[in-house]
Amino acid sequence: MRFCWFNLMPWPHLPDTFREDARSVWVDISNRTYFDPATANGLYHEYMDQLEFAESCGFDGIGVNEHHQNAYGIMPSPNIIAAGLARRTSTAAICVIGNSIALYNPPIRVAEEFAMLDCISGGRLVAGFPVGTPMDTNFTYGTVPALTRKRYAEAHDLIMKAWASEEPFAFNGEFTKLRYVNIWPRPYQQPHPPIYIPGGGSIETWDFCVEHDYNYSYLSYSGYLAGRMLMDGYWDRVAQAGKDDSPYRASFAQVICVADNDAEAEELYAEHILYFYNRCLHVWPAFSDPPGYRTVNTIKAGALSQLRRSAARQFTSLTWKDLVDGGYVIAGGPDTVRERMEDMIRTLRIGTVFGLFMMGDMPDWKVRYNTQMFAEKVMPQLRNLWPEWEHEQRWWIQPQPDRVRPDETFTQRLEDWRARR
Amino acid sequence: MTASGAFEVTTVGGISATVHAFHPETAGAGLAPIVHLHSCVGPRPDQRALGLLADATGRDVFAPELPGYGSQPGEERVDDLLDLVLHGWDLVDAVLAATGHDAPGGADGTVVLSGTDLGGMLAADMAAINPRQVSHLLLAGPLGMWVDEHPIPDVFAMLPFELPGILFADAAAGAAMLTGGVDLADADALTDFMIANSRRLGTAGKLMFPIPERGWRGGRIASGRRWRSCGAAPMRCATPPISWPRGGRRCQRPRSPSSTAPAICASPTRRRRAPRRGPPRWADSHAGPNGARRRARNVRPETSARTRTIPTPSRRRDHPEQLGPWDPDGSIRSTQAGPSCRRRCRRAARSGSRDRAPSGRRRWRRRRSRDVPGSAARAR
Repeated sequence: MRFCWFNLMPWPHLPDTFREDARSVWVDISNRTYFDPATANGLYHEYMDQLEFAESCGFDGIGVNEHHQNAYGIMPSPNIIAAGLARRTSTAAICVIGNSIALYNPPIRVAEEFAMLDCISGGRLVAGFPVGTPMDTNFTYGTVPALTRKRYAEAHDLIMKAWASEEPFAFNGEFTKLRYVNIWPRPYQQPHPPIYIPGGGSIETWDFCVEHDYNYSYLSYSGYLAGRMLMDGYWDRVAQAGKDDSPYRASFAQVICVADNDAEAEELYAEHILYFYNRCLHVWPAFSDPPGYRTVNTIKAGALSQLRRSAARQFTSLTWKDLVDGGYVIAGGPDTVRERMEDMIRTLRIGTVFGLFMMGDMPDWKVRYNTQMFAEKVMPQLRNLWPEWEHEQRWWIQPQPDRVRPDETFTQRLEDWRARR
Repeated sequence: MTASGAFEVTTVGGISATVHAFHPETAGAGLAPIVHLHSCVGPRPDQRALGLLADATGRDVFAPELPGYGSQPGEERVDDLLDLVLHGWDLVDAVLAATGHDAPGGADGTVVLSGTDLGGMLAADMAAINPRQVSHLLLAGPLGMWVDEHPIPDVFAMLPFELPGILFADAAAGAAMLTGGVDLADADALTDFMIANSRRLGTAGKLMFPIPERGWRGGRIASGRRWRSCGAAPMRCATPPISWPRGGRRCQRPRSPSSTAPAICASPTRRRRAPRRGPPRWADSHAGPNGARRRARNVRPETSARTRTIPTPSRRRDHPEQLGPWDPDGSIRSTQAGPSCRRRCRRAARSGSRDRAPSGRRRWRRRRSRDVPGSAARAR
């Protein structure tokens, strides 16, 4: 099992009356009323410190992602954060999950920046290619909903070809036409960094992952109990395509809160988790599903959309008990969390967990306590859940053995040199 | 009584479409038919108006369904406005061939192009690209013009239940039309509706999202000097009066002697769209340097107004930011086309493509003299 520590970087200062005052946390939320650049200075550092702290706790990867015009996650450019992390960490995978490639013009920008990150980090990049939420891709960046997937597919083809090609080539796409594609730098990892496709349940995304052998990362806040149906659908497609069922083909994002015991978990974390569900997910419903964004096939699979919509409505009335019992949040003492995590990992059949330990307006000290408790008391017991896939290296980084470690001092390197002489 | 029916055509490009046909009680001989392009929500809401239009003009009215709106596939082959403009002309050819209107002795293959919101935008661009085949343009609340100060409501950021209120004067009747009267509480019906809605507005989104202005620059270039000579872009000068509360019933004809396609604007329905409460300063924003003053004079937004005030549904007040500018008293204004509008259209359309429709200025004078006591004498 691999565990990644994910930071959504939420804005933690939304007022109690936010739901009444603003119609959406995304797209048209006022950046004057709610955002403060001076506060953001400390906040960004705090969030990046937490990601670095996760590496020191033994997490396999640290994760960031891309969202625009929102207070749900103040990270429109995850590559900037990842560049900072690449300089201050040395072993963890840097999971950028990811760049919404349908909205880059031209998309080779993503090929270039990911290649830079892979070189700076010495082959530690995990590259994510989300289709992007409608709030980001359509309403913020203006991509036509019904053309989003077409743009995505073309951007994907261009990026992969740019990474793979051994000489300059011309790319004559429908949306992007380039006479000379010849990226500098190119990524360290060959043939390319591991590719993770975050999805919310689109049938097309399953097929895309299966076809290209990419990792399917299911990101949902409805928790693993609700996610089971979707992951079953994904594994059906894998089986239909005749592929092996390595659990490392799939990953899942889960909100996790660990404390000394169940009661303490509620006392410590409940208010912050409720902040997240009530304020950070307060998206105007029309922003999350413009006509044409979902394909007809996905709508026909009706249950998916209704699940999502009804879930969105439910969030407002959920209590801590509902969240925990419904599996939205895995919370409690180490034993409780371990037991539920194991249940989740086995039922969903996943090899990688993106753990969300920092949620809502959780203060730094609680985040670190939560992280450390999980790393010390839960993670070690879960490591060996897939012994038959112990040596699975697909879908994971291949770091450069002699990569520069920015934390090394010059005296260490001098001693190395002397020793070799 | 108008006779109506429907038939199928397949374009040369291989896209099939249902065409709704309306034949006037008394048909004019040799008159070019009207090809009507429906709105972004689909063809149904236009039907009654099309029967009236056929009777009022003495012309056949053909209303083909655009890709994504009928039962046939084809929307996957339309990605942008040019795709749809070319498909639109394929449709016109197919309709003319199917109905015998392309036979010698008819209207020489010319048509009156008509359109409602999205269809108006499409008709205008079809005319810009192929003006010789257009005898008249009839644009009802056309999309295609964006003014920063007066953004039209974003239909893509609205929930389905909000659409009828913004699209129809009678929201309840509009809701029934949009849903086809089915009960959305039923899961299967809801799924069917979601699919149809996704196809319709998904296709419309290719032309309207995020800002419904696509073709003007291209249209200007494609149409060349002939059109430009009657303004910065003839479609622009044709569209705004119909989009407005106060000029909605004005017919306007480009003044250029070299123009072959007089533009008529009419407002044949009770539909209301955001553009109608649109910018009073469109001419300043959009006319060319030489055309601005002339059109500003033609339009006269403050005069000849006969408006009807419609109470604003309360949810509009809840979210005024999504709905664009409103009148300060919280109500909106909308024109209602009366018999006089139809008479004018009929007169103008029957008079044939080379005949003069009353110019905007003359008609404005006439109306002002009617509306304002004492002004008749002054006008003379």
